[in-house]
Amino acid sequence: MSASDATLGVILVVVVVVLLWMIGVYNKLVRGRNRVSEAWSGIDIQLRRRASLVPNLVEIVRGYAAHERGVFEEVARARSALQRASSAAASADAHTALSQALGHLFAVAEAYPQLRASENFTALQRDLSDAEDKVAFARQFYNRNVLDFNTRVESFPGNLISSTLGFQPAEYFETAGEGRAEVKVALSLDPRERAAETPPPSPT
Amino acid sequence: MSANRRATRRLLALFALLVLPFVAGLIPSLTAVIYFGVLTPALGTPALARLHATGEGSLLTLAATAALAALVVLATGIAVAWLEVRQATRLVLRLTRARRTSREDEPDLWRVVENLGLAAGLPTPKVYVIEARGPNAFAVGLDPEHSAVVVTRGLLGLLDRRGLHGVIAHELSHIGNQDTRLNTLLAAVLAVLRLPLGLLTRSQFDRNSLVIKACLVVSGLMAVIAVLVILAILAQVALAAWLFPDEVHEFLAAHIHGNWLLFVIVGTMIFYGPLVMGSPFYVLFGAQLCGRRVSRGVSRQREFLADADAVLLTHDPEGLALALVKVGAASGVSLDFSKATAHLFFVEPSAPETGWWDRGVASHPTIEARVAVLGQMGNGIPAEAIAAARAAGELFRAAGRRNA
Repeated sequence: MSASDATLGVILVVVVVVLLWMIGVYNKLVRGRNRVSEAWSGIDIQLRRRASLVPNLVEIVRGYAAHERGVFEEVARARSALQRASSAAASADAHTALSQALGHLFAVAEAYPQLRASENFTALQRDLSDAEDKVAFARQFYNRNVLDFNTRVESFPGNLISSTLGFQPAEYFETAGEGRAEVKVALSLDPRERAAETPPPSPT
Repeated sequence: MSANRRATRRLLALFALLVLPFVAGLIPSLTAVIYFGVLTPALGTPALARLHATGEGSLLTLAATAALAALVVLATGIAVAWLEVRQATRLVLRLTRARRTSREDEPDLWRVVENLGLAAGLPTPKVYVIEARGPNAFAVGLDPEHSAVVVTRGLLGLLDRRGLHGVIAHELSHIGNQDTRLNTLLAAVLAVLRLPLGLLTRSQFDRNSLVIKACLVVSGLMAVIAVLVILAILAQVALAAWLFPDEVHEFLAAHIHGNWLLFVIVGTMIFYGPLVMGSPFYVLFGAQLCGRRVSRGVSRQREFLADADAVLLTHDPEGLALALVKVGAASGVSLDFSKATAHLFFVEPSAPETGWWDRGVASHPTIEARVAVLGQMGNGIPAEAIAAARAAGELFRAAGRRNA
């Protein structure tokens, strides 16, 4: 075996190792992207559900306050914008806009006690707030997955191949006014140590 | 996750070690039952009597009986194991007398479960309610797609929305962390280990039942005698080897001839008799006691992890901590379930009346320790809030006592 054969062998081994590593990184990136799109469908379902409740609500309010045309138009515009939105950021903006428009609609409804007492109206209101809650909860899961995926895409050495293979960082679903206080979640290995640091409240 | 899986494997191995003597103990018991209960009365028939007249013949029937017993036990064991893996979830739900609810029955509870399930990225689990005043909760299921969250009526009465969020998030985290798979299987295995005693007493496990006491005394005495006999044999051997080393050496040289296999077989047979005597105790009591201790040990560390993951979902460590304090102060209100399920629950289901055996290894870390860890995740929890939560829990407990 000559020296050049040995060199060739070493090069071959290095190439194979690099190839295997690239395959591994690629598969992880694909898995992450799939997870993000799965999490997105969780939000999307709730967004659609919320949008589908809006026309009924508008109809009911129109029955009492037909002259408030400006508000109805605003709501309709926001709703169709939400349905047209194609990216996470656009959806989030449209979601916020729809929330504002619905806020105006409910402000109008405030002036009509009969409307507020109507069973249909309260049921729709409840469904709507439930759908809003669900968007917020699904958003948590989505953003967590985006964070994981983006970290993988942008950090070294994954970023070396993610850009050449066409992996872009995913967009977060950020809505205004929904930011909650972040909590640091730490887990000590020995709970007794922790318990010793902060003495448990004495029984009274 | 991988550490979790490794722990799971280690634990299942430990459990197999517990179950093996259980099975081995069943075989001699069943052999005795068949031999004395079925064969001996049948000896009236001439053919059997003739066979039994010779020493070889009776040894043969005994061996055949033992083989039959072993076959029955093994076949039953395999069938039970198979059934258990398939039916574990249902079994646990049955043991705790949980009732399935629909979205219309419990809209508020369902909404909390759905919302937090979305945040955790889990498919919405089924929702069960136990009609009991003791506030508690748990999750079961072998995989997230077939999981259920179970809460007691008392929990719904005691906690506000915030506390309920914390508890449900904790249970959903158990599902997400795959703790429920192990816990459900453990509960099912434990339930089977309790079966022999249950068949004898034909009732729920009442510590003071006369039948249980009689079984405990008789089988316990037998086990003690067995241990004494084994000790006596060992002592004799040791004494002989010490006092007459030359004779023992000669005896071994003459009879064993370096044939260690024979030596091991004969030794095992000498010890097998006393072991058979002791086996009823293990089958009736020992196996389930040891199993309970193991299952209690497992679940503790996972409670901290589930608490931490719950806070990731709710962003509200204080809500979960106050719920823990409330539920802890109110616990002890009538929750008399099969002990096979103790390790599943949100907090220890039977805190005050726990026997000395179970107190040795708690199935859960103390509430104080859990609250302390939660306090460090947020900005600390005000002592007044904890005191108020404890007072609310104690009030709830007192009300339960009055009603009972």
